[in-house]
Amino acid sequence: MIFNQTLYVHWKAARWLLLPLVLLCFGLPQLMLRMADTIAGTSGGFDSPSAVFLVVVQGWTPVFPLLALLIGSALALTAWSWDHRGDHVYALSLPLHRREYALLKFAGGALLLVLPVAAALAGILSGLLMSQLPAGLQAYPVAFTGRFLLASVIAYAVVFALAAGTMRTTLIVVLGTIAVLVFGSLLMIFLQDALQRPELWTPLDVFDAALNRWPGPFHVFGGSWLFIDV
Amino acid sequence: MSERLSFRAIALYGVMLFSAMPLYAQSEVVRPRTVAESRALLNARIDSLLPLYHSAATARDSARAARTDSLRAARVVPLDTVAVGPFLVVGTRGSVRATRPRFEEAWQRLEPRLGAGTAQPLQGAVFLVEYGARSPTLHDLENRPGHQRIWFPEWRGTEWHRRLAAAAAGRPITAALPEDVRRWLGGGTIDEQVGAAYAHRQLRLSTDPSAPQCLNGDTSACLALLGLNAQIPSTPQSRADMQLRIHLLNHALTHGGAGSIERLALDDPSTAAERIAAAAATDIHGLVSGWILHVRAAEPDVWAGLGASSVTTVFWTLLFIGLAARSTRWRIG
Repeated sequence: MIFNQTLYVHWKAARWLLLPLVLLCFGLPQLMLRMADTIAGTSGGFDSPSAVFLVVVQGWTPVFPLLALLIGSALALTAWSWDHRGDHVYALSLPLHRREYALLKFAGGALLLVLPVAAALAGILSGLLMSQLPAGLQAYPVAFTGRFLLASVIAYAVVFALAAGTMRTTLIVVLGTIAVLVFGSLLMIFLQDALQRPELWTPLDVFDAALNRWPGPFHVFGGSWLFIDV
Repeated sequence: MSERLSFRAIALYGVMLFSAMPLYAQSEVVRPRTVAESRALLNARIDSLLPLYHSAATARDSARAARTDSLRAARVVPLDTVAVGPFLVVGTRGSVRATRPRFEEAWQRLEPRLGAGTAQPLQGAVFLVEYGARSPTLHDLENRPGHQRIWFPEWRGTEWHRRLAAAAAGRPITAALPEDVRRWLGGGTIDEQVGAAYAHRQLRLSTDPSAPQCLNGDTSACLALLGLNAQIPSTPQSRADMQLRIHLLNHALTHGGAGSIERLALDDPSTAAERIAAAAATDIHGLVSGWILHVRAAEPDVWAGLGASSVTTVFWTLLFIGLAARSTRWRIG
């Protein structure tokens, strides 16, 4: 019962932000397939139509991790926005421990994540129905959707944890991270020049490594995001 | 007193005028000049100024040139040169330091494969390296014989840099190969790094009817696909075709090991296929059979890493939920 109410409140807070993202999840795969189909159909050059198709798909691929990041962040921020606005009075009035409340909220948001992920799957499937893949290429909608779901969940979890704290804590963490990334990188670039050691890692390099390498939290963002491949 | 002074002044003035009168009488009679005379006079004056103008222009040009030279000199960054095997790597200290390991890797790979005869092309090769920012100084050196300018974009990873260094080192060697092998490569270079997964993709996407048979292990189909079934090898029909040929050649060189490039360049074998087989120290069917197994093993897998990602995502998500459940916000009062 409380879960339903939590979910309803979250839905009310998130729906207008979620709507364009759901539409993007549904529309982008179709647009991408249509574009790849058109470009591959009109290219008569050095490369085969299948190779051109794959190159176009590969070009669009970075959009989807970004979209997953946006979806996770939007849902996480809207999970706590009403609590922050109402000074947590509503939450304090509930007969719940803080951890139970946080879990309920998290579960509600995770359930809402299903919407854009399902939209992405539906978008890919309908796109595949409307266009014919060139010879040699296959679709992998399930693997892609799995990756998209994992990326959305981890982005949601990170921002959820940040947004659960006070605004002050969130600001300290976010601004601190940005400061370390920006000023640390500037300092390292200066040191690289001064010491003539360009191979030294900047905080951005470290962040990038954390993003792509196992067992970093963002490992899923570094894998293959192709839903069309050989 | 003052009246006497003014009288003296007037008298002095009068005397001066009177004494100047004969001089005035000797001067030319002043009369208005005609237009032609004025023009001639002006022309003469302009002509008299021309040498001055020319010398001023010369001085201005040399001042400008000196300023340009000084600006260029100010921009010149000292260059470092390091020897890697038989070739030189030239660039700013930072560029050389960053790219030297990539050239060392390329040389370590090439050195055992090169025999005494084929080491020559790399002798005297100079790689002008730019890591990150472009250098105008290196631009001036680029046109010298044997010099190659290679830009290593900083934002590209090590793997990309490795490919650039390998392609650069492979270029002089390729240029020294027999003509039929070069034609068969169609602009590709020895040691150019082509991934097996990429080769697999290209093989799967090839429109050539022999590609599926080749992928199924039919070596004759592979030879036809790669243009090695005829006495005179065909040139690549597409970029993918070229990349496949480079991949096969690299496989042959790896398989052949020591002296493989030297054997590739020998005059003895008559066809490109025989040369490549000689480089691999095997027969051409055996080589292609091994190559296709290698390519098939590198089939791209979109599911790869998804299991590991699932584990990390669950772990980190639980950790972040734990962090979210801890709060200072509710400790009111």
